[in-house]
Amino acid sequence: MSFAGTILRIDLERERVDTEPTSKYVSSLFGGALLGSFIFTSEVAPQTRPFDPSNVLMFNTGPLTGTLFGNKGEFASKTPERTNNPYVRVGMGGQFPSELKFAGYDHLIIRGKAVRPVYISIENERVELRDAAHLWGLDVWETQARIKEEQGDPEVQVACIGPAGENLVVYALIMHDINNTASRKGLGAVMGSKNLKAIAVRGTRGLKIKEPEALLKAYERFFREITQGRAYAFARMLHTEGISRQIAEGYVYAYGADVPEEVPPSPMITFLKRYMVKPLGCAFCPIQCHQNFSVPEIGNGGANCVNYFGLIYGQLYGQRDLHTWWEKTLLSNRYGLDSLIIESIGGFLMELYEEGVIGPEDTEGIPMERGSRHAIRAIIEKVARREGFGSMFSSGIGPATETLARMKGVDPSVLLQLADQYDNQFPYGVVEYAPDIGPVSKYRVGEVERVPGFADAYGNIPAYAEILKIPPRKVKELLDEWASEASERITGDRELWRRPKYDPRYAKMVVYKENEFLLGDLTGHCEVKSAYLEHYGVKFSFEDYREWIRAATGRDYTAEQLFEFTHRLRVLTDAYNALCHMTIGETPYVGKPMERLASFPVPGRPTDKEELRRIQEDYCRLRGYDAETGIPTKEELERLGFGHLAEALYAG
Amino acid sequence: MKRVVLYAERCVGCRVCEAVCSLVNEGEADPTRSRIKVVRKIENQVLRAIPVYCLQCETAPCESTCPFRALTRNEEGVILVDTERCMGCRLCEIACPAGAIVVDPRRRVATKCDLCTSMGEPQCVKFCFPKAIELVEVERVGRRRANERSERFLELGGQL
Repeated sequence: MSFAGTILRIDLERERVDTEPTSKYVSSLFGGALLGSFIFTSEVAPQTRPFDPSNVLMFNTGPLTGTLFGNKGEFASKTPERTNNPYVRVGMGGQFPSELKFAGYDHLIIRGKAVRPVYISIENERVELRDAAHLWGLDVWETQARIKEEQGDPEVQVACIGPAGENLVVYALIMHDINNTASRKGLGAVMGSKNLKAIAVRGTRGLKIKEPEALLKAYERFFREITQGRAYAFARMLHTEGISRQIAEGYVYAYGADVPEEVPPSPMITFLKRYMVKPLGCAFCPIQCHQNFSVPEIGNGGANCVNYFGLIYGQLYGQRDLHTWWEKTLLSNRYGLDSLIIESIGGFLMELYEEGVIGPEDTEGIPMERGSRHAIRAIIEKVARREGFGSMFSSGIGPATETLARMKGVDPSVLLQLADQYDNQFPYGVVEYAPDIGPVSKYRVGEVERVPGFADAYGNIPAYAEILKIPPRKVKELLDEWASEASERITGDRELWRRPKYDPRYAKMVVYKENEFLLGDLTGHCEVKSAYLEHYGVKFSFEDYREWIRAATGRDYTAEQLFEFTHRLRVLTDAYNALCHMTIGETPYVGKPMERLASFPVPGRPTDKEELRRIQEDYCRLRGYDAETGIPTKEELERLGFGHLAEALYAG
Repeated sequence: MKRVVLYAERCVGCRVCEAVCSLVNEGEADPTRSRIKVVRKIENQVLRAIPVYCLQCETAPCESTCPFRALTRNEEGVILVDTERCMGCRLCEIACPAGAIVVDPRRRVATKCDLCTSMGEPQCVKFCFPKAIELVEVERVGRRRANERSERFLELGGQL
């Protein structure tokens, strides 16, 4: 019930299609990201490289995907970016995930490499590999339109790659519809490495629901809570967070800072009013958190959170106005390139140009002047097409730095220092967002940010004040109130989040918020609703999820069991990633992000390094990790039923 | 007497109406069995979404075409399918100018919107958050539409 019931396995090399029942795994692994990750970590050897044919590209949906309660799915694979987390899961919504379930499949497992460019066509039980030679080279939107036309059905849902993915650019994305993307971590390149241009799905089999009336009743409450009151306006504008932060110049409105009575009008709100056609989003979701824009002389398209984040870092490449941002976003999307990496590549090249390290002769006569739209256009096209100077960056900023250093006869560290020095002016920047520069980073510490008093919400104060037509001070009061409620719910102390000092309960908040994020991946309901909304005054608890899951599937998992499933997902992922590093002889690096975190205060987060270290120790204890290495202990892995990983990790 | 009126420009193509309709009427999550269908068209990366549903025509082609007299009206003028009489011949499907009556893929009889007669109000309307569909008294439909259009007209005038 509400599971589609089947896992679809496609071997591109042998051109073979197999299926197996989802029920084989469900009782111990629930579903969604946990079930998918278990299959991945059991079947893909840790030493597998992202572009090896034996690497698997998965698509996971959750038991709530396709019901009224959600339409989230995720791609999962080994990432071609150099990072502390080689195994990644990248969420994607839109119409695709539910369509896959309506076709009868909960998970899609793709392995091997096709001998020629192909696309996968799924129409209920009919699964075929079709020739994609005529689609190779097309952009993401042309590809989708051509497939729909060929299949004679506008309701076919397509996820595809553009030229960036075909050219194995490590920052390539997977695109669906106007702008539903699996943006980060270069999974578009993994798809390209398999000679797989697209996956087209049409499903008309529907999903059985255990208790339709109970589900509708639960949805009524969910719908009411979301759409009534102020939280709705907040949620709808959630993804415009970057804009206001751009004005706020970082976290000046963070905890402790005074909020002025008046704020200057937000240019992004003006842009929205002028150019937004309508909101966009996933099927069956009352939030619709993306926006569809039509901008004369530049073009039409959509913008999502990753695109908006670009506004914050736009300063790196000297973004002058929102038209520059829009042109960059649209062009990157069209080529199937993660729009956010352009800030890093552009910012890096422009810094080197300003410092006189490179000249126009190094970039095919195009001066890398900060803020130049011509330069930005050239970077996107060259990187996506792996042409000329862009080809250096197509394999990552790290390798490009080495090539540039060789060309200029300098040590790569000199160039990295330049980038890093510039980068430090921003909360995040080149080094943070391009982990293949220098040592791999340890992200877990970064998640200390996911606590009540969540920085993103505070950065939004000016925009919310304008949208809600209330004074900024009032917005801050609301956010403070909601943060206090969350703090009380998790730790029993309303004021804990206001004290940026070590507290033994602090790690508990981190674990709790992490698990709430993971609940979105586990169920197919999306993290905006399982975790983010709390910062906007709407909370759906594990108990609520229990009710929805019971009505949809007929399976009654207690809130504690659901919490444990999310914990298992975290442990499984961390153990497998640690195993990948050990197998190839790398040591995850923890130092730098810790310093970075300590230097950028966010509300309620301690900044003292020693205090952060103690929080990390507490965190490890709660998760069952070794405090020294940050790796799950043998006992914890065995307790959770991940004996295969315990054995491999602790073999020697 | 009430009818559902459409403000197509407000529709965001979320398909909550489809999911609610199939859940209420068929007990499943299956948009192909929904009485209301959202046609999503993407042209040059702009989404156009149009909900398609039975308009309860005063002179209904489906009703007059049905050879088995399976389509009847209740006192509110809502066209209902008598599933005992329906043979699933699809003539109504062919005749409907809106594409709002179809033969259900499982039950093999015609299905169409009955304004959720048994539930008191159409559930799709209840959950349409952008208010692209609304339930309005028949005699107010024209007036309401005129008001809506004049606002748009004024908006356009304001830009000139």
